[in-house]
Amino acid sequence: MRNDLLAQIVIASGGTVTNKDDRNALLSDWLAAVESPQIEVARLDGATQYWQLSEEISVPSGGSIELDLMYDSANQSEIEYVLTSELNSDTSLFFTSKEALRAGSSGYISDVLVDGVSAVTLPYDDTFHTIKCIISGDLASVGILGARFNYTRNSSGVIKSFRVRDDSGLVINEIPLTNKAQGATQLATVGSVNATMINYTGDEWEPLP
Amino acid sequence: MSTYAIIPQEQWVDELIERFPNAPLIQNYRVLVFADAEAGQLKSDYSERGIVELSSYIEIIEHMEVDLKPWVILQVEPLREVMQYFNPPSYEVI
Repeated sequence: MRNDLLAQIVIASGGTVTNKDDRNALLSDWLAAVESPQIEVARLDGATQYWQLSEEISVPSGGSIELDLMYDSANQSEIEYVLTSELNSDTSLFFTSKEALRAGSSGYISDVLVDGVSAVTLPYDDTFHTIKCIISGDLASVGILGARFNYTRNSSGVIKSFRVRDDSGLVINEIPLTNKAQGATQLATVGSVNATMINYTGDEWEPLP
Repeated sequence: MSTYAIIPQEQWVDELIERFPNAPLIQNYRVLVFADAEAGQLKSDYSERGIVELSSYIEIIEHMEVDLKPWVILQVEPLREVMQYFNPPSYEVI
Protein backbone atom coordinates (compact mmCIF):
# COMPACT_ATOMS: atom_id res chain seq x y z
CA MET A 1 0.00 0.00 0.00
CA ARG A 2 1.28 3.47 -0.84
CA ASN A 3 2.34 5.70 2.03
CA ASP A 4 -0.11 8.43 1.06
CA LEU A 5 -3.00 5.97 1.24
CA LEU A 6 -1.78 4.72 4.59
CA ALA A 7 -1.60 8.31 5.83
CA GLN A 8 -5.21 8.84 4.74
CA ILE A 9 -6.26 5.74 6.67
CA VAL A 10 -4.50 7.04 9.79
CA ILE A 11 -6.34 10.36 9.55
CA ALA A 12 -9.67 8.69 8.80
CA SER A 13 -9.17 6.55 11.89
CA GLY A 14 -8.82 9.69 13.98
CA GLY A 15 -5.04 9.40 14.31
CA THR A 16 -2.14 11.74 13.68
CA VAL A 17 0.55 11.19 11.04
CA THR A 18 3.97 11.55 12.64
CA ASN A 19 6.06 10.96 9.50
CA LYS A 20 4.36 10.51 6.16
CA ASP A 21 7.49 9.04 4.57
CA ASP A 22 8.10 6.33 7.16
CA ARG A 23 5.95 3.25 6.57
CA ASN A 24 6.63 1.78 10.01
CA ALA A 25 5.73 5.05 11.67
CA LEU A 26 2.50 5.18 9.64
CA LEU A 27 1.59 1.67 10.73
CA SER A 28 2.32 2.62 14.31
CA ASP A 29 0.16 5.74 13.94
CA TRP A 30 -2.66 3.63 12.57
CA LEU A 31 -2.42 1.10 15.41
CA ALA A 32 -2.44 3.89 17.98
CA ALA A 33 -5.55 5.39 16.40
CA VAL A 34 -7.40 2.08 16.33
CA GLU A 35 -6.40 1.08 19.86
CA SER A 36 -7.22 4.48 21.36
CA PRO A 37 -10.09 5.81 19.31
CA GLN A 38 -10.39 9.57 19.26
CA ILE A 39 -13.31 10.61 21.44
CA GLU A 40 -15.18 13.47 19.89
CA VAL A 41 -18.80 14.49 19.57
CA ALA A 42 -20.79 15.15 16.42
CA ARG A 43 -22.77 18.35 16.17
CA LEU A 44 -26.02 17.96 14.24
CA ASP A 45 -26.73 20.83 11.87
CA GLY A 46 -30.34 21.37 12.91
CA ALA A 47 -31.45 21.22 9.29
CA THR A 48 -30.64 18.01 7.45
CA GLN A 49 -28.90 15.66 9.88
CA TYR A 50 -30.14 13.19 12.47
CA TRP A 51 -29.30 9.76 13.90
CA GLN A 52 -31.28 6.88 12.43
CA LEU A 53 -31.29 3.74 14.55
CA SER A 54 -30.75 0.49 12.65
CA GLU A 55 -34.06 -0.72 14.03
CA GLU A 56 -36.76 0.81 16.14
CA ILE A 57 -36.43 -0.07 19.83
CA SER A 58 -39.53 -0.93 21.86
CA VAL A 59 -39.11 0.45 25.34
CA PRO A 60 -40.84 -1.49 28.13
CA SER A 61 -43.21 0.15 30.59
CA GLY A 62 -41.26 1.44 33.56
CA GLY A 63 -38.15 1.62 31.44
CA SER A 64 -36.47 4.74 30.16
CA ILE A 65 -34.80 6.39 27.20
CA GLU A 66 -31.70 8.40 28.10
CA LEU A 67 -29.62 10.90 26.18
CA ASP A 68 -26.60 12.97 27.12
CA LEU A 69 -27.38 16.20 25.30
CA MET A 70 -25.77 19.63 25.09
CA TYR A 71 -26.96 22.92 23.66
CA ASP A 72 -24.63 25.88 23.29
CA SER A 73 -25.46 29.06 25.15
CA ALA A 74 -25.23 30.85 21.80
CA ASN A 75 -27.80 28.56 20.20
CA GLN A 76 -30.95 30.50 19.33
CA SER A 77 -32.96 27.58 17.97
CA GLU A 78 -36.40 26.95 19.38
CA ILE A 79 -38.72 24.40 17.78
CA GLU A 80 -36.62 21.25 17.63
CA TYR A 81 -37.04 17.50 18.00
CA VAL A 82 -34.74 15.45 20.19
CA LEU A 83 -36.19 11.99 19.57
CA THR A 84 -39.22 10.22 18.10
CA SER A 85 -40.56 6.87 17.14
CA GLU A 86 -40.44 6.12 13.41
CA LEU A 87 -44.05 6.51 12.29
CA ASN A 88 -45.51 9.16 14.54
CA SER A 89 -44.71 11.44 17.45
CA ASP A 90 -46.47 9.36 20.11
CA THR A 91 -43.07 8.73 21.66
CA SER A 92 -41.35 12.06 21.27
CA LEU A 93 -39.31 14.67 23.04
CA PHE A 94 -39.09 18.15 21.58
CA PHE A 95 -38.60 21.84 22.30
CA THR A 96 -41.58 24.16 22.01
CA SER A 97 -39.35 27.18 22.53
CA LYS A 98 -35.78 27.77 23.60
CA GLU A 99 -35.01 25.50 26.58
CA ALA A 100 -38.68 24.39 26.92
CA LEU A 101 -38.83 20.61 26.68
CA ARG A 102 -42.05 18.68 26.14
CA ALA A 103 -43.02 15.07 25.57
CA GLY A 104 -45.60 13.81 23.08
CA SER A 105 -49.24 14.07 24.11
CA SER A 106 -49.76 10.28 24.07
CA GLY A 107 -48.35 10.03 27.58
CA TYR A 108 -45.95 7.26 26.59
CA ILE A 109 -43.26 9.47 28.09
CA SER A 110 -44.80 10.16 31.48
CA ASP A 111 -41.98 12.20 32.97
CA VAL A 112 -38.74 13.84 31.87
CA LEU A 113 -35.78 14.07 34.21
CA VAL A 114 -32.83 16.36 33.57
CA ASP A 115 -29.81 15.26 35.58
CA GLY A 116 -32.11 13.19 37.79
CA VAL A 117 -34.68 15.89 38.53
CA SER A 118 -38.13 16.19 36.97
CA ALA A 119 -37.87 19.16 34.59
CA VAL A 120 -39.56 20.99 31.74
CA THR A 121 -36.47 22.86 30.57
CA LEU A 122 -33.04 21.99 29.27
CA PRO A 123 -30.57 24.83 29.83
CA TYR A 124 -28.63 25.99 26.81
CA ASP A 125 -25.43 26.28 28.80
CA ASP A 126 -22.56 24.51 26.95
CA THR A 127 -22.85 21.57 29.32
CA PHE A 128 -23.96 18.00 28.74
CA HIS A 129 -27.09 17.07 30.65
CA THR A 130 -28.57 13.62 31.02
CA ILE A 131 -32.17 13.56 29.88
CA LYS A 132 -34.16 10.58 31.08
CA CYS A 133 -37.58 9.90 29.58
CA ILE A 134 -39.67 7.67 31.86
CA ILE A 135 -41.89 5.31 29.88
CA SER A 136 -45.46 4.33 30.75
CA GLY A 137 -47.38 1.60 28.92
CA ASP A 138 -46.11 -0.93 26.44
CA LEU A 139 -46.37 1.08 23.22
CA ALA A 140 -43.34 3.35 23.43
CA SER A 141 -40.59 3.07 20.84
CA VAL A 142 -37.69 5.12 19.57
CA GLY A 143 -36.12 5.04 16.13
CA ILE A 144 -34.79 8.53 15.43
CA LEU A 145 -32.59 10.88 17.44
CA GLY A 146 -32.37 14.53 16.50
CA ALA A 147 -35.37 14.79 14.21
CA ARG A 148 -39.13 14.42 13.98
CA PHE A 149 -40.39 11.22 12.38
CA ASN A 150 -41.19 13.00 9.11
CA TYR A 151 -37.98 15.09 9.26
CA THR A 152 -39.71 18.48 9.22
CA ARG A 153 -37.94 19.30 12.49
CA ASN A 154 -34.39 18.59 13.53
CA SER A 155 -32.08 19.23 16.44
CA SER A 156 -28.97 21.39 16.53
CA GLY A 157 -27.78 19.93 19.81
CA VAL A 158 -24.92 17.54 20.44
CA ILE A 159 -25.86 14.04 21.56
CA LYS A 160 -23.01 12.25 23.27
CA SER A 161 -24.68 8.94 24.07
CA PHE A 162 -27.97 7.08 23.95
CA ARG A 163 -29.28 4.39 26.31
CA VAL A 164 -32.44 2.41 26.89
CA ARG A 165 -33.11 0.80 30.27
CA ASP A 166 -35.69 -1.78 31.24
CA ASP A 167 -37.99 -1.45 34.24
CA SER A 168 -35.27 -2.68 36.61
CA GLY A 169 -32.86 -0.02 35.42
CA LEU A 170 -30.71 -2.45 33.45
CA VAL A 171 -29.19 -0.95 30.29
CA ILE A 172 -30.53 -2.98 27.36
CA ASN A 173 -29.30 -0.71 24.55
CA GLU A 174 -26.39 1.70 24.56
CA ILE A 175 -24.71 3.59 21.73
CA PRO A 176 -21.87 6.02 22.50
CA LEU A 177 -21.91 8.57 19.67
CA THR A 178 -18.29 9.58 20.17
CA ASN A 179 -16.14 7.32 18.00
CA LYS A 180 -14.89 9.49 15.15
CA ALA A 181 -13.08 6.54 13.57
CA GLN A 182 -16.38 4.73 13.09
CA GLY A 183 -17.66 7.60 10.98
CA ALA A 184 -21.36 7.85 10.15
CA THR A 185 -22.38 4.59 11.82
CA GLN A 186 -21.73 4.39 15.54
CA LEU A 187 -21.77 0.90 16.95
CA ALA A 188 -23.68 -0.30 20.00
CA THR A 189 -21.81 -1.30 23.12
CA VAL A 190 -24.95 -2.91 24.58
CA GLY A 191 -27.58 -4.54 22.37
CA SER A 192 -27.44 -4.82 18.61
CA VAL A 193 -28.97 -1.53 17.46
CA ASN A 194 -26.53 0.94 15.91
CA ALA A 195 -27.00 4.58 14.93
CA THR A 196 -26.21 6.12 11.55
CA MET A 197 -25.99 9.84 10.96
CA ILE A 198 -28.03 10.71 7.88
CA ASN A 199 -26.46 13.31 5.58
CA TYR A 200 -23.12 12.79 7.26
CA THR A 201 -20.14 14.60 5.75
CA GLY A 202 -17.35 14.04 8.30
CA ASP A 203 -17.22 17.74 9.19
CA GLU A 204 -19.47 17.28 12.23
CA TRP A 205 -16.87 16.16 14.76
CA GLU A 206 -15.46 18.38 17.45
CA PRO A 207 -13.53 17.75 20.67
CA LEU A 208 -15.46 17.16 23.84
CA PRO A 209 -15.98 20.48 25.63
CA MET B 1 -18.97 23.01 9.15
CA SER B 2 -20.58 21.72 6.00
CA THR B 3 -21.77 23.37 2.82
CA TYR B 4 -25.27 23.08 1.40
CA ALA B 5 -26.85 23.24 -2.03
CA ILE B 6 -30.52 23.70 -2.84
CA ILE B 7 -31.23 22.13 -6.21
CA PRO B 8 -34.39 21.50 -8.26
CA GLN B 9 -36.19 18.26 -7.41
CA GLU B 10 -36.09 17.01 -11.01
CA GLN B 11 -32.30 17.34 -11.19
CA TRP B 12 -31.97 15.40 -7.94
CA VAL B 13 -34.17 12.63 -9.34
CA ASP B 14 -32.26 12.52 -12.63
CA GLU B 15 -28.69 12.69 -11.36
CA LEU B 16 -28.10 12.80 -7.64
CA ILE B 17 -30.64 10.62 -5.89
CA GLU B 18 -28.15 7.79 -5.41
CA ARG B 19 -25.37 9.99 -4.05
CA PHE B 20 -27.71 11.99 -1.78
CA PRO B 21 -30.59 9.57 -1.06
CA ASN B 22 -31.77 11.39 2.07
CA ALA B 23 -31.67 14.96 0.76
CA PRO B 24 -34.55 16.78 2.50
CA LEU B 25 -37.38 18.06 0.31
CA ILE B 26 -38.42 21.71 0.53
CA GLN B 27 -41.11 22.79 -1.90
CA ASN B 28 -39.80 21.59 -5.29
CA TYR B 29 -36.18 21.54 -4.18
CA ARG B 30 -33.82 19.16 -2.45
CA VAL B 31 -31.10 20.09 0.01
CA LEU B 32 -27.71 18.48 -0.48
CA VAL B 33 -25.13 18.54 2.31
CA PHE B 34 -21.46 17.95 1.68
CA ALA B 35 -18.09 18.48 3.32
CA ASP B 36 -16.55 21.91 2.87
CA ALA B 37 -13.61 20.26 1.12
CA GLU B 38 -15.98 18.90 -1.56
CA ALA B 39 -17.59 22.25 -2.31
CA GLY B 40 -15.15 23.31 -5.00
CA GLN B 41 -15.35 20.01 -6.85
CA LEU B 42 -19.14 19.93 -6.70
CA LYS B 43 -19.40 23.45 -8.07
CA SER B 44 -16.99 22.53 -10.85
CA ASP B 45 -18.82 19.30 -11.71
CA TYR B 46 -22.21 20.96 -11.96
CA SER B 47 -21.30 24.46 -13.14
CA GLU B 48 -23.38 24.04 -16.31
CA ARG B 49 -26.50 23.96 -14.11
CA GLY B 50 -25.86 27.51 -13.08
CA ILE B 51 -24.78 28.18 -9.52
CA VAL B 52 -25.47 31.15 -7.29
CA GLU B 53 -24.13 31.64 -3.79
CA LEU B 54 -26.65 33.39 -1.57
CA SER B 55 -26.36 34.32 2.07
CA SER B 56 -29.70 36.08 2.53
CA TYR B 57 -32.52 33.69 3.35
CA ILE B 58 -34.97 36.20 1.87
CA GLU B 59 -33.21 36.00 -1.49
CA ILE B 60 -33.14 32.21 -1.27
CA ILE B 61 -36.87 32.04 -0.54
CA GLU B 62 -37.57 34.35 -3.51
CA HIS B 63 -35.40 32.12 -5.70
CA MET B 64 -37.44 29.09 -4.67
CA GLU B 65 -40.84 30.74 -4.86
CA VAL B 66 -40.34 31.79 -8.47
CA ASP B 67 -38.97 28.33 -9.27
CA LEU B 68 -35.54 29.37 -10.55
CA LYS B 69 -33.31 26.52 -11.73
CA PRO B 70 -29.74 27.48 -10.80
CA TRP B 71 -28.38 25.75 -7.73
CA VAL B 72 -28.12 27.80 -4.58
CA ILE B 73 -24.98 27.28 -2.50
CA LEU B 74 -25.47 28.39 1.08
CA GLN B 75 -24.43 27.87 4.68
CA VAL B 76 -26.46 26.34 7.45
CA GLU B 77 -27.75 29.52 9.11
CA PRO B 78 -29.81 30.77 6.14
CA LEU B 79 -30.83 27.18 5.42
CA ARG B 80 -32.41 26.91 8.87
CA GLU B 81 -34.29 30.15 8.20
CA VAL B 82 -35.53 28.83 4.85
CA MET B 83 -36.69 25.56 6.42
CA GLN B 84 -38.42 27.48 9.19
CA TYR B 85 -40.17 29.65 6.61
CA PHE B 86 -41.60 26.68 4.75
CA ASN B 87 -42.42 24.81 7.99
CA PRO B 88 -43.51 27.61 10.33
CA PRO B 89 -43.36 27.01 14.09
CA SER B 90 -47.12 26.60 14.48
CA TYR B 91 -47.10 23.65 12.09
CA GLU B 92 -46.58 20.07 13.26
CA VAL B 93 -44.96 20.75 16.60
CA ILE B 94 -46.54 17.81 18.40
